[in-house]
Amino acid sequence: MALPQLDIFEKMRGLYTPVMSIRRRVLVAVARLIREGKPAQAIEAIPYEIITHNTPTYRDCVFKERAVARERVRLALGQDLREFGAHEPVIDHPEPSLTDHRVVEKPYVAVIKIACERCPSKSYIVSDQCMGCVARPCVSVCSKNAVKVSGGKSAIDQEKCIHCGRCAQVCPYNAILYRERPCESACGVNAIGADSEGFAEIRNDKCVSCGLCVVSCPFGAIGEKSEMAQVLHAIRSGLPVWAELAPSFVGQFGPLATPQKILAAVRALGFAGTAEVAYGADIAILEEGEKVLEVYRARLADPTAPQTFVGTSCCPSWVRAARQAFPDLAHCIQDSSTPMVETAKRIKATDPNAKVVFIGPCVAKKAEVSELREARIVDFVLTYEELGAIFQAAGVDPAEIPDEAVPAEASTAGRAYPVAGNVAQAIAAAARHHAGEPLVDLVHRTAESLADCLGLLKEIQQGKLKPVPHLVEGMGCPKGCIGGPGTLAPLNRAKAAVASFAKAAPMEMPKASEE
Amino acid sequence: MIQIKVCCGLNCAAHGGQELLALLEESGDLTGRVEVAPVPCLHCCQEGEQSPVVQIGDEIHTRVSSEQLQETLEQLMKG
Ligand code: SF4
Ligand code: FES
Repeated sequence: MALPQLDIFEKMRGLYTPVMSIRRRVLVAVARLIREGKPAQAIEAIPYEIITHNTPTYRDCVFKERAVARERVRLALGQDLREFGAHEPVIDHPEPSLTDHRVVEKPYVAVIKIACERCPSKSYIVSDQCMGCVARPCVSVCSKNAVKVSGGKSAIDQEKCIHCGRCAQVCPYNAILYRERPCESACGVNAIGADSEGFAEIRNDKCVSCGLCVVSCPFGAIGEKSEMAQVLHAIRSGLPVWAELAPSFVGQFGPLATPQKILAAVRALGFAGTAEVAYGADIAILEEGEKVLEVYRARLADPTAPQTFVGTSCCPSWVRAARQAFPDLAHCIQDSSTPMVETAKRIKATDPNAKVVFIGPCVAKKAEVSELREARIVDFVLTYEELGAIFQAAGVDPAEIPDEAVPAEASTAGRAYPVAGNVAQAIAAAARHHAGEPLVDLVHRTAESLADCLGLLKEIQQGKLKPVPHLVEGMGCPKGCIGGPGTLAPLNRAKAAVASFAKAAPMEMPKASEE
Repeated sequence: MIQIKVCCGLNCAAHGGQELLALLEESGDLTGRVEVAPVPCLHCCQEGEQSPVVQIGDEIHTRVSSEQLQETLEQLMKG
């Protein structure tokens, strides 16, 4: 009997690994310390709580294991990492982190150099499976003369190799392997390189903070800064802290934690109130639906004019990557308020003193918040992983909390937003509804993962994509927000949970206010 | 019919329990032979056991990985 492999889009993502375990335990320890109001000096003890053994278990030495945990503590507090090699205590000045307002600054994603194993970067190598055959197709197929035979086996001259991969394709024994740094291959915008010593290095001018390298490094050498400490402080100091939960929150804490239970559990942590970001998604659907209709009509009126399109606004890493790589198409990417902002506006309209925490699957939202035109609309960003750590530190289990009825705040279309493809479907449906006709030749395309997003834009720019879609849905994470780096649930479960919660919404499509 | 209870308490859900459940549910050839049930916290975590926890029949397994689960199931199905 064979169990099928899970449908995972990255090798590391769908499995529970010691890297995740350490990351989560650090978050729980920091959350506990702040919730219990322990003195700042207690921070120093966290690496020893995480790495309790005295013999190396994960790395070559236990001191290194603790040093890595130490860096993770800094990230969990929202602090910058130490300069590699510099002598410093875990936290020399904890005070700035132990506050109730936003202190986290760029870069949001950083390499923990002491944990980086300097993996080999892009190369084809001949493994010991090489039989040294007589045919030697690898030698003949290489146009650069990079494959030589030495000691009876093939060897690749890395200076000459141009990584075309043809030798690997023709080897009858599959003896030629392609190696790539997992962080580099996860990065869709080519922001990861190596420093002079070969340690991974993030080019901050290119990085869009999507966070996919964080969950792809098998050594746990990349991390993201957290705002958990500041959120917990704000709650402790009695401020009205509201949580707005991204539509992908359903199903994140196991099948027994229903959406109603999760919302109730969040309030049990001391949040003043909760809101569904799907409400803001509904507003975005209507706004972007109108824009799509405008584009559609403009093309009909003048088919010879340069063809524009509507690029969706909800995914911050797609928006940044697209604007960065294709400045001449930037005007097509919407800058209407995102679902996160619209929902926050509504919360602040009811309670102007509210501090709003966006809780979602996304690391890039941390960057988006710092760049918002209206400052302080959203005060903090947490991921589901960080929320899970707070639940654990507080001893609140969403699976066991009594159900509380929650007023339905959004439509099926808004709640279905976190699954790739649904965003474009909903916006196109809104455009049709607005037009009052089926718009049969309305074309929309969805791209998942930044590499695909940029590939699609390139085709549009080079005029290779005909017809140019009226609507392009860009999703930085494969499968959409349910595949975000801050999620906890496997993709298929998350997808099913989102679908059934969406179905339970009181209306299928959002209604414009005048209707 | 063998009953497999997969703990879906917070600790286990956040420590890989969801993956185990997905793995079991997506395995078509278990139908009819194994009954899979998601259950609330089995309280092993409070006794210091490592999550995720899976109960196969009467036996509690802690810190279960997908490979271990697969192996145990294979043995069960054989024996
Ligand atoms: S994947 Fe990247 S960050 Fe991780 S160890 Fe390898 S080179 Fe370093
Ligand atoms: S959550 Fe599984 S034993 Fe407690």
